[in-house]
Amino acid sequence: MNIQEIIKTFAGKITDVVEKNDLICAKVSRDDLADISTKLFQEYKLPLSLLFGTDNRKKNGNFEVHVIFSLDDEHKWLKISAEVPESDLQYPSLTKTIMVAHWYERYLRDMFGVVPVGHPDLRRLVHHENIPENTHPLRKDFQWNTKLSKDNVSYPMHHVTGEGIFEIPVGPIHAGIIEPGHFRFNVAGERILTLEGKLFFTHKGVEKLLEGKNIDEALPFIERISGDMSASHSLAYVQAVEKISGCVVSKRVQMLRAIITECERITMHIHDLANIGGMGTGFSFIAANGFRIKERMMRLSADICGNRFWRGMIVPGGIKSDIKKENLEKILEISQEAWNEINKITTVALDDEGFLDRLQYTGELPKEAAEAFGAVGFPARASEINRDVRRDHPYASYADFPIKVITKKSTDVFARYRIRIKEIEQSIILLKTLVEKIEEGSVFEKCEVKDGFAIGAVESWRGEIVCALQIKNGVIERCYPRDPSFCNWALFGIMGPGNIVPDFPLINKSLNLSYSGNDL
Amino acid sequence: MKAFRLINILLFSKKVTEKKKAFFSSDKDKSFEKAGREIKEIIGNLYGGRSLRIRAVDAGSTNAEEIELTALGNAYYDIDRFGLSFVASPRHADMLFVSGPVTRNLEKALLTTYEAMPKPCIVVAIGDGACTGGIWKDSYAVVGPVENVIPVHLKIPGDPPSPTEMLVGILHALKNGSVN
Repeated sequence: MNIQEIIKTFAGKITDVVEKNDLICAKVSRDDLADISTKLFQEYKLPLSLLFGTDNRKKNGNFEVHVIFSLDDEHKWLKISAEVPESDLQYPSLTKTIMVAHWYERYLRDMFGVVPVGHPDLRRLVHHENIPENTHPLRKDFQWNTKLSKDNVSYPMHHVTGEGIFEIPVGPIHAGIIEPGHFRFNVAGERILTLEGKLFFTHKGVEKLLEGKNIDEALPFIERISGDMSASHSLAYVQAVEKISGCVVSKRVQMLRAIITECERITMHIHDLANIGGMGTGFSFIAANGFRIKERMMRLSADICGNRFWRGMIVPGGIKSDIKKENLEKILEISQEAWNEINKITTVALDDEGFLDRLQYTGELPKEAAEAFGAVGFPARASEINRDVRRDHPYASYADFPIKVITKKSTDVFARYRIRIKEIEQSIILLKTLVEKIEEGSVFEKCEVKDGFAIGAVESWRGEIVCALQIKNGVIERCYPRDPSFCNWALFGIMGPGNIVPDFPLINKSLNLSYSGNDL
Repeated sequence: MKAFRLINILLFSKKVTEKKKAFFSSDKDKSFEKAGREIKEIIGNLYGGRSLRIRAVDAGSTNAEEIELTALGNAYYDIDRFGLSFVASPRHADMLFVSGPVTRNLEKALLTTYEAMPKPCIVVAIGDGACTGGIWKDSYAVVGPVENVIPVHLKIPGDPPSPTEMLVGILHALKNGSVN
């Protein structure tokens, strides 16, 4: 059933259907939003990719709640929007029937003050204790540089009580050199009963800072959402800009963009293979070698992009500077060498019984849970969810050079470990093809910015990035770059319980989620 | 089959270790080595044989700084050989590395970490965010540079600073001895 037929089945409840590029926009009434979304999600199996709000009070006195569904088969997006008047800031919650929406709605309430009625857990999410009540940073009348006073509003966390039950608080400052986040374990002996995270420690107000910036001014912020996925985030943003402006880039640009993001994937997957092995299980042979190989990939980036993070190359309208033929061959040579070595090292690792013992049956994520929580990226694929933006919404040159989506059945840390190895292998094959068949063409054309709304999506190494961008009068009206970490953090509530506490760091490393990207 | 592959790799494939010259491919590497050796000497004199212990705290960075700090431990840099090591507790540390513009939500955690450090200690701000607030300066969610919260003795700018820049920065701090 295609989307037009689906819309017809709602008999006039979905109005103002407009199709532009790969996005279908429609309006629904605020009372119907939850029902229609539920039907789309449960009956037609459309994955909910995004839920966000906008403040349109200047235009019509209303706030608006947008829900975006992914139409994987048709390579399109469906956006349904409902208006919420300022006089009555509420709408029926989606979370009652669609678990995926749980964090989005809490986020919406913190940022806009729009209340999803019937949400089972309406605690604060972004705002910690120090933020005063009724602070809604994404409202248009809130200045980006407001100096807020200090408050002490309670931020309760779940407790389990009973004889012999202990609570272990961890963080926000951790023992290693990692980002800050707070975790609360309720344990009986060594077994985890419940696990809850308190995040948003590194909330820097990115979304607010982006508002009012022009396209080029905003790029540095987008590149610094999460340091280890700069290229992917900027590509998602740049795609949205180009879709709005009707800017078409050459085949060469598309291929170079694919090469850069694949290099980023290889670099970070090698990091994770080393990190899971070394820091997660104490197999330091893998860490020592893996980090050495990763350093070579970072030095390769320094040679190609001028920095060690594959940053700064992808700009609206093309690529900042062309990559010469000898450099392309260098990329291929060094990546190939890196793959050969990491392959040997992981072969040694996967032959070690002690190592497998730690990885297998640890941090299992059943397929039903992954679907219910809306998991994205390789953690979802390791739980048999067959989704990958590179195939479902082909961008850059993935339409010409399709990839095969790799899934695993065992759903544990071991599955996530092997899926990374396979993805590096696949990236190397893709790199080879791209470098071999690279086309000539211009690498940059000035992009005339128009007004409008578009969605840019990229499968970063961590998972699906969806960047919803609205441009008005040549500047950013609203930009929500949703990091895959935002969807995947809540999975720990499922993966943790049943395991022992020392396995949590391993499970955490097997996902390697970004705190900075999640907190924005 | 797997065992056969493993034996094949262990016995017949070329060694996975790298030649020394691979680690000294650029001038940067040479200045890294030079700074490292100087640091080793100073630390030897200062502490009489024990290492300088560093505690790294993320106060709201983009995680690029953390990647570079982790890189300091890999085989290319391996700062442990110069007598520098990262420790898990601020109570064991002589030096505090802070990265990122301090966010409102982390202000208290950073202050607590600083208070837990034995004094005197050296506080180093790593990266543009920590030094000046960087692009995040004045945002509603950010308190600002690290010096707005705790005293800072050394700033290592960069976005993020490379491992070499960090090591040279530490050398400066030790040489000038501006520790209160």
